[in-house]
Amino acid sequence: MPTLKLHRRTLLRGVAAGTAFSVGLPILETMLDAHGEAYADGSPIEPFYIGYNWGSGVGNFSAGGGPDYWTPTGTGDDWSLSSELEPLAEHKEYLTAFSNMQLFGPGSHHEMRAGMFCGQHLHNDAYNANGAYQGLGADRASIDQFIGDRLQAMGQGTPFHSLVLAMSGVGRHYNPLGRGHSFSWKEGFVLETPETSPQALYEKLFAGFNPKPGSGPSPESLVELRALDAVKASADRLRSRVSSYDQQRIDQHLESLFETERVLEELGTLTCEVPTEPNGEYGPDAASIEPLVEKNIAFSKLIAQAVGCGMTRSINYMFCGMQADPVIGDVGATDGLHLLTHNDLSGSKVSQPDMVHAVASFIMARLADLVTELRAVQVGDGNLMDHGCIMVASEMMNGSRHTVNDGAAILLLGKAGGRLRTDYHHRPESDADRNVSKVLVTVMEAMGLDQTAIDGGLMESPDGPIDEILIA
Amino acid sequence: MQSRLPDVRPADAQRYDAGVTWETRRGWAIGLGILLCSGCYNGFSADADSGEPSAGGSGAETDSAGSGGGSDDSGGSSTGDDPEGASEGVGPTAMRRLTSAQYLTSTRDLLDLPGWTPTTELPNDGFNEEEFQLSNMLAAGVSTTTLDYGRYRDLSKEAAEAALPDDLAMTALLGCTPTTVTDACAQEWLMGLCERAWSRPVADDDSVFLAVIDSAQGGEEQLGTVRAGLWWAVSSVLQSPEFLYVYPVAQPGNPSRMDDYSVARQLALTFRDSVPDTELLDLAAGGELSDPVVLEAQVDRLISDMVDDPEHRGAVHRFFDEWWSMNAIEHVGKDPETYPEFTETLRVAMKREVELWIADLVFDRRADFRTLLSADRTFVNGELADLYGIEGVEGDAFVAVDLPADSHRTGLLTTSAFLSVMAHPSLTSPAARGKFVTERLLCLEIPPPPGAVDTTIEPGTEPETKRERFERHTTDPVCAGCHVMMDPPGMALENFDAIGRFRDDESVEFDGVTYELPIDPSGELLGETFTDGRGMAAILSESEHFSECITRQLMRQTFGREIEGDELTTAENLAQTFADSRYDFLELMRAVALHPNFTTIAAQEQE
Repeated sequence: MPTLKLHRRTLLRGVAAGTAFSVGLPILETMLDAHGEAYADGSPIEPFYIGYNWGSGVGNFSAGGGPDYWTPTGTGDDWSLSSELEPLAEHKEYLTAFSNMQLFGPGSHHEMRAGMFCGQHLHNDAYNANGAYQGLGADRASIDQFIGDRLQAMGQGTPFHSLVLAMSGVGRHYNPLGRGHSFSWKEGFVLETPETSPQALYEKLFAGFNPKPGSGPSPESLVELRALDAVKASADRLRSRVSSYDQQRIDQHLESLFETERVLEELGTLTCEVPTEPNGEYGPDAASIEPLVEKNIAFSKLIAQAVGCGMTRSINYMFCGMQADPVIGDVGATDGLHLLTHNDLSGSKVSQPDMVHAVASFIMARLADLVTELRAVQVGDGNLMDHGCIMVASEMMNGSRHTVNDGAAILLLGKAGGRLRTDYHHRPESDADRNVSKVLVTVMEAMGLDQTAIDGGLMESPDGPIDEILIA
Repeated sequence: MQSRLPDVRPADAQRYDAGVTWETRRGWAIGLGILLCSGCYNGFSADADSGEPSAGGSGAETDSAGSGGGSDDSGGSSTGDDPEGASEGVGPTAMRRLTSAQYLTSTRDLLDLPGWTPTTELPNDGFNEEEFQLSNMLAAGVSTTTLDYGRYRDLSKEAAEAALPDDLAMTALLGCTPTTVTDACAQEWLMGLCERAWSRPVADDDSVFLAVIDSAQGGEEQLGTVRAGLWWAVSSVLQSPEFLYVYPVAQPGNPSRMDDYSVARQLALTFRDSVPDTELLDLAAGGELSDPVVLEAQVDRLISDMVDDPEHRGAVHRFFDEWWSMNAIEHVGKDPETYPEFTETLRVAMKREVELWIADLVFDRRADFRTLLSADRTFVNGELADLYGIEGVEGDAFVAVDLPADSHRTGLLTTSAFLSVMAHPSLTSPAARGKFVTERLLCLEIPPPPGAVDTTIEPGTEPETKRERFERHTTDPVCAGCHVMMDPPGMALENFDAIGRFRDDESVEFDGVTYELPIDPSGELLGETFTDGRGMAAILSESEHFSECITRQLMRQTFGREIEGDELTTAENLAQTFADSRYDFLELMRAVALHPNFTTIAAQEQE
């Protein structure tokens, strides 16, 4: 067996040149070592990250004297799923649960979201250097964007820097750039807006695949690359006469152009199996109800394909935005989670905690379907979830109370190539250990980013990952 | 730049569009988001009882009399005057991205595709309903996300395909038949396309133009046809940042004045949301737009085009829609049990009423724009007439109706569109309506409440109208400072329910019983008392602050930036021109476009 030390994509290019075969997902058995846990040269298979998030919390009303459907029982290895985590039962071996974790800082949706997903709170740079309304500012990118950036900087970039997706496309404000509609942002709190259509994601991922494997970029792709040179020339011309702030905006625009160039160059050579195009009707009906079960499965299959084929290693998959607008008719909810947690439901037949629990359980069940699709993709003797690191979190514990004092609703799923301890319930007691930023640091370490701390701010976490969870 | 917002903002605090909980059912947290600290005024002196307040700068800034030669002119056309003086006090010139409407109109005009409607979604302008912002202003800060970059890419291909679907279309578009992308026919057309898209001269050896030619050659070589080459050239031009983003070029040796091409683009965007037409480009190429007489003639031409042809009025209608959140009528939710008559056709009719009435007021009659708030005429179809209680109108067609002097309907604030947008699914929102008046019609900034304030209102001991509940709530001195300004106009409109139907009484549930309680719409605004909504609107429409605010809003729209400091003096002077023209809105547009600030480049703060 040859020594295989090149990156998987490079290998596939080399192997495929001059031959007409296609490689099934995700990795050739010949590339792997005897255990199927590493490439044959001993280098580990790269882990991938998925952020799965939603707005307005979970069914834990214990701080106000109500029921707690969320927190598991037992700790360490000897633990049991809560009723709200029960939809994940078949995936318990991949699950790492947390309780008694703490966010710090102000208690608004926005501040808590920032704290949870980048370990730092927002500051109110309401107007930017151009005098334009910018909204809230964050010095640090969200974890998914940070992971994409670090992988590029470390020479481990993928064609797609990241994918930012959302299962639900409905939102009260009908403004995709509204602050509530994304959990993904670049440094400076520039929101990355999510793709909400499985068909559009399919087009984005697979439209560039060359039907003749190994032939390199298609003629159309080659022309488009030249057209992008003209676009870059125009960017340079404009850049030379604007302020440094506006240069940053042009540079951000160009980041997407560079990604497009990578995709045109590399997707033309990939020979992964192109999946069937999703063909369902996934939009909301007249009452704004979406077929989320089917839509999630369509998205999940594509996510599994994208990860398995090495197209990206960082995905943010938002179930819904912070205002949690989608009405989950499947469980008889009469409103989105935000209003269910904020309104007085004393006149309705179902109590508020029970209704919130029903919706949160639905959200967990969709996550379970995603994990099922990831586990369906074999990698050696195992599957993709052996290399996955899914961070599951909402920006707050209890949407009714809107406070950091109720703790953080967060889980991890996946073994990250053996770096994460799973089937475990971690419940720290000391304040330093309860900082939810430690989970972010643990994730970054598991992803091999060589990032051991989050510095500065209320969520500062200077003393490394969670030793009980991260396996050296 | 100094933040204007407090450090902590409850998430619900800043929204006032319909369906969002400024208030919720059963008395929960009534007024969440409307509690404000004392001393919150921006623009008026803090003592509301001291007669007519004096409008001033934001916060505690004092008003300066204007520090430069251009900034306190009331609308001359002296683009050649004192260049340094003209740029003093002018807000920073920012690079603005085309709004989605500007992108669409520009692409249609560039490629002669008047009816083109892409299937790809247009990038979002960053318009955030949580704060009142104009998309022209957000354009100065909006960033192009990965998703929106993909949309520009796909849109450029759709447009190229629509313009060049076959060789016949290619010949029609170019006006000649090219045999190769480098022949005179193709080159001349491509050069013209680039000149128009980028609003700058394009020479044979321009490096960006050469890169576009290279992409055309690539298309011809790889894909085998001239048309494919031109197709890809078009795609590259439509994706080029010099098309997508607007930043003026200075006159040689005069860094604070725009060159002619940049003036041409600024005029085209202001009046048409588009790229310059041939006449503007020819004048720019000939260096003639720096002649004030020529500039004035062009402004007059663009205005008469709007008057003569409704197709040219889009930019102005869009400004009004954004200023008044009229687009929100398309998605505002209403409780079907409370308002079964709120049909999709009624929704459409509500928006149409405002469109027709404004077209009549601004373009057809060029009447006193202040009658925006005290109209004696409107346009209704049968469904809307039923809602308004107007007799004698049936069917789908809209007709103009004169409103009697004692009519409840009296302009924008009593249109069902406004009243529905500024309300909840089943309840009214005096807070939203009052904030609209103070913020958007009087240009006062109302910051959100401090985070630590308890916004809960204890339930009353007897049935109460919304006003009575609010009054119990806002006697707190922490809150009263801003509420005394913001609540009265909202309460004045309580006679109109959540879809704008008139009512004398409010239905209130208390202890399982429904009471019909008479509404009290009286109050005080700007030091004057009123007995109802009509009276409140009349005070507002006559107020100098209103006409100055109209001016300021138009300046924000035209310049794409906040109006502050010395430009507030410019606003006052332009408001005087507005008054002198009998409040003809198009005359105000003319004055703004001919003001030196329109063609001034002012440096941004460097980071």
